[in-house]
Amino acid sequence: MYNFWVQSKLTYKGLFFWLNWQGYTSAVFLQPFATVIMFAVLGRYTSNPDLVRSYILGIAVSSLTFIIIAGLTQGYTRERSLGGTQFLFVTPASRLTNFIARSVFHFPNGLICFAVGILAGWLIVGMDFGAVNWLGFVLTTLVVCFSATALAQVLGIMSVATRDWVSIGGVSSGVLLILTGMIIPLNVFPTVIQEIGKLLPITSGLAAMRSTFNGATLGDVYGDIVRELITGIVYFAIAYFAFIYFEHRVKRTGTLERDIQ
Amino acid sequence: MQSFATGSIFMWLGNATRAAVLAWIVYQSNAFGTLGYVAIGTALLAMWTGVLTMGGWTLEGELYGRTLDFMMISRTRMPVILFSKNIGQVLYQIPTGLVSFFTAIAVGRMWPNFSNVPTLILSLVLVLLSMIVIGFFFSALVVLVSGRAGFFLGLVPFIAVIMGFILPVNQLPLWLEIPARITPSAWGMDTVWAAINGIDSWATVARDWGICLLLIAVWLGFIYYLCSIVEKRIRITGNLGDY
Repeated sequence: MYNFWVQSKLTYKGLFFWLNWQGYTSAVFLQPFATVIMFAVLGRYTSNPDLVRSYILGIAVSSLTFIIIAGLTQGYTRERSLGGTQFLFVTPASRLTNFIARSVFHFPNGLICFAVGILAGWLIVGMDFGAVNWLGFVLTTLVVCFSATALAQVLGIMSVATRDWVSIGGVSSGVLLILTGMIIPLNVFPTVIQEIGKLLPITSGLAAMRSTFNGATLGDVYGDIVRELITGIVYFAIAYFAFIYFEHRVKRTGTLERDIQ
Repeated sequence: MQSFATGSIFMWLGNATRAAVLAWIVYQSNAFGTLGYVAIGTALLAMWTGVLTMGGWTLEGELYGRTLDFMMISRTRMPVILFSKNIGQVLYQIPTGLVSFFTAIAVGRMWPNFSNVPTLILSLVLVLLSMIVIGFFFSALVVLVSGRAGFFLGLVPFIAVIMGFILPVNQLPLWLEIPARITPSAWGMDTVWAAINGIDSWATVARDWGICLLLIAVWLGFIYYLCSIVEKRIRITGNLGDY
């Protein structure tokens, strides 16, 4: 357990380059606030305030996914480019422990971003919390954060393989913004696209989150929460096996060179 | 920094999705009068994101890789180098802007009406100049804070709003309009709005262009001063960054 916490701390502190007061404040606090402002001002101008309020949860979730994906993918890429991955691969350290440890401190960042986004929604468009089923809302938020972390692990492996976390993060955030119902309801898309959207993390969890925000009970959204949880577990499993496969492949081909910076 | 060649397409896609969402908000609200402005705004937003993030990251990479040290011993002044880098960034981001523009048009499912195209083009040139100047300001800031990674991230959407890329700043709440009015592009975007929806008064357009140019000059003077502070700090401490 001690090793787990040491690895959690060191991978976070050493590989999350936004962990300075300017970068952290900007990325975790200002970014979700400013994103809500951006969508809210356009939404308020072009449509009615009720519609804008329905966007806000999606925008807050987009900030949650953004910070977790950016944090984890840059950690994977930078570990490789700085020459740390080679050392990991020659140690007998548990790969599963190391794999899980990477995400531990990014998880709370997602929750903070989400909370800031919600706060911005309350301040700017006057979100009404009167009907919220808090237990269900908090539970769905935690499950969404879990599945977003699982997706970020998959993207982390992709980014360490391609050494391009910026592009991977940008495209994945865009895909999530479009296909998970964050702002555009899924039912406006053709059936095939809807089915793809349902395979992504966030989609079911966000639906449950919106329902509990409007007062639905846990029993009402049980199915969505379980589906989101299972989606997260499947993505974690895919990411872990990809991590193991990546190690196997680079050892066999000898291609884990350090980037020259 | 990652490969620009492979990264460009991904960047276009990432920005295009945001353009699609913003255009969809307009489309489902039947606010077609706003579509032209939002399409241009999403293009500028995409370019602005690229200018600030790529500009920041390349500078950060230069600080980390120590290539910026050579700038200090070259004959070219630091402001000239940073300013020219920003011109390059803005030009480099034009394709990104075009992809976002056409994505927004496609989502809006109609070609917007632009009332006065020559005025629109001139206004956009002024807005791009403003973008270069504000990008130049943030470049100086990146060097001043020793390239602290991530610090410009939260600024991208906020600055985009107050630069008028989402809506003309007179449509913003007062607490956002006041800071917005010190950015030159806010005035330039007012004339973009007029060029799209019809010009009521040429005097107002001329006034807005004049204020835009004046603010560009004031910002350039301020940034030159900021650069001199940065250069002084570097020369006294002998350190461009803390890596």
